[in-house]
Amino acid sequence: MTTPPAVALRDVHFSYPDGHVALDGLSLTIAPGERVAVLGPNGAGKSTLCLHLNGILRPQSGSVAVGGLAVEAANLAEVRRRVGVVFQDPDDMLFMPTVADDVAFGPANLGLPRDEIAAAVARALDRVGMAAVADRPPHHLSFGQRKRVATAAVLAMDPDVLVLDEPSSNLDPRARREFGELLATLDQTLVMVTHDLPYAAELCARAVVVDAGRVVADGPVRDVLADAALLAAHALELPAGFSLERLRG
Amino acid sequence: MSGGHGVGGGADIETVAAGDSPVHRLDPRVKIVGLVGLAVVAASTPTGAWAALAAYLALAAGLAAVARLPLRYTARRMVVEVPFLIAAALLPFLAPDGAARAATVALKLTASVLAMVVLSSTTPFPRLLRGFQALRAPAVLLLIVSFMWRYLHVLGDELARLRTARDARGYRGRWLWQAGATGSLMATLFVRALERGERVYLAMTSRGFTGAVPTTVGAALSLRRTDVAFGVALGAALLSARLLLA
Repeated sequence: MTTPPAVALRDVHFSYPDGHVALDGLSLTIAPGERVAVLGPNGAGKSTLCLHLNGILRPQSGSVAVGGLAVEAANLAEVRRRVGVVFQDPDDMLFMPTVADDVAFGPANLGLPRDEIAAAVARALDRVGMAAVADRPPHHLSFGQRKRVATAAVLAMDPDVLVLDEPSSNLDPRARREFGELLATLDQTLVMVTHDLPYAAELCARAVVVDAGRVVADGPVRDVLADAALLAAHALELPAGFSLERLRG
Repeated sequence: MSGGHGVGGGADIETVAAGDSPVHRLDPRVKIVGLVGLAVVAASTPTGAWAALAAYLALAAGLAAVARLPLRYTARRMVVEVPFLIAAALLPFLAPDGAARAATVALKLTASVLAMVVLSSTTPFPRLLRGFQALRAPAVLLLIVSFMWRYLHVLGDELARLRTARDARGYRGRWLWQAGATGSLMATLFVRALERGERVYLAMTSRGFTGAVPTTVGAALSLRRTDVAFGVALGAALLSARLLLA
């Protein structure tokens, strides 16, 4: 018996009510433990893809499964436990008066008993190095700290797959590097939607380029980023002076 | 960006509430019951019961002093009662014994508002919420209040950015025809708040929210001996003032 893929999308079509086609036959399979960067220009369907992974949006045709479990109405609670989405703006996630209350929101929704919730909160905050701010209100934290707390809020649900929407946006260079170091230590399957190509190269082994709602390239991150013609065709650019050869490992 | 820049200088309520004093350390439930109780008892006191009214005011002022609330800060917080005081000042012209009534209203109001200032300035907001929750206030109301408090800070930052951007393009708020700019600024803020709300809801749903609000799980409140002593003493003082002095 083989383990089912962590994420499997098959021929997914989705268009928004205004007629905009966001996903146009997208197929993607991700194995457990993989770290995958999803790249593509604005409006390519990357965020729509994210929202399909935990059933916020449902395909109009095609299918989505996480860990072999079909994403459909009956399974939504379990799907949302398995797939944790860290949104781009932590202020969209942190809505409770204190950090600890917020991190407890997910586990509480899972219906865990009180002491297990408290343990999950402590573990998650410790994991991201934010145990010291547990009782503070989110608006007293820096953006980088809020990003970590938002990540803890998702980790507290013990997900198998972590989906990050633009993880490095709005972070200053040091917070960006430190957040990357944190992500590198996580053992969940990682799906990272980003414009930050060096970040993708550092953290992910595999890159998928999405444009116009379908996968147009899929391969080892260095090969994808080394293909200048491909990048140019899909409005992706490495920063000036960036050299793939200088990457470690 | 990270907020916390008070506008207008001086101590802000969060800094003051995060301070330390015997009043700060009291259990929030005892403070809520005691100080709301003070306002209720004051409201029930008849006109002209000067000794009782003075006692309420002294109690509230005494607590403010023990809590070491800065004087200017407290005065600024008390400004909310000014419109009501002005309304009360009209009473002498409208009713016989109007002067006594106006003075009674002013004393009741000042004692009650001061009690609420003490409550909100010695209890950090999350603790205050937890107190109300422990006293079985309706969960939906508490959630609305807590959303308001959390996102006022976020929207405040957003408003500040919008205003900076507007002023950077030469707006000086001087001419009547510039009023339109303020209107569209409010409209922009409203649209952004709406979009924000949608994203917050999506994020909540992503974490398994199905419409039922789970209770918060922070450290449970526990009454200490000083909390009970404070509650009993304040209750006794209020009742004796109400029953013996009025």
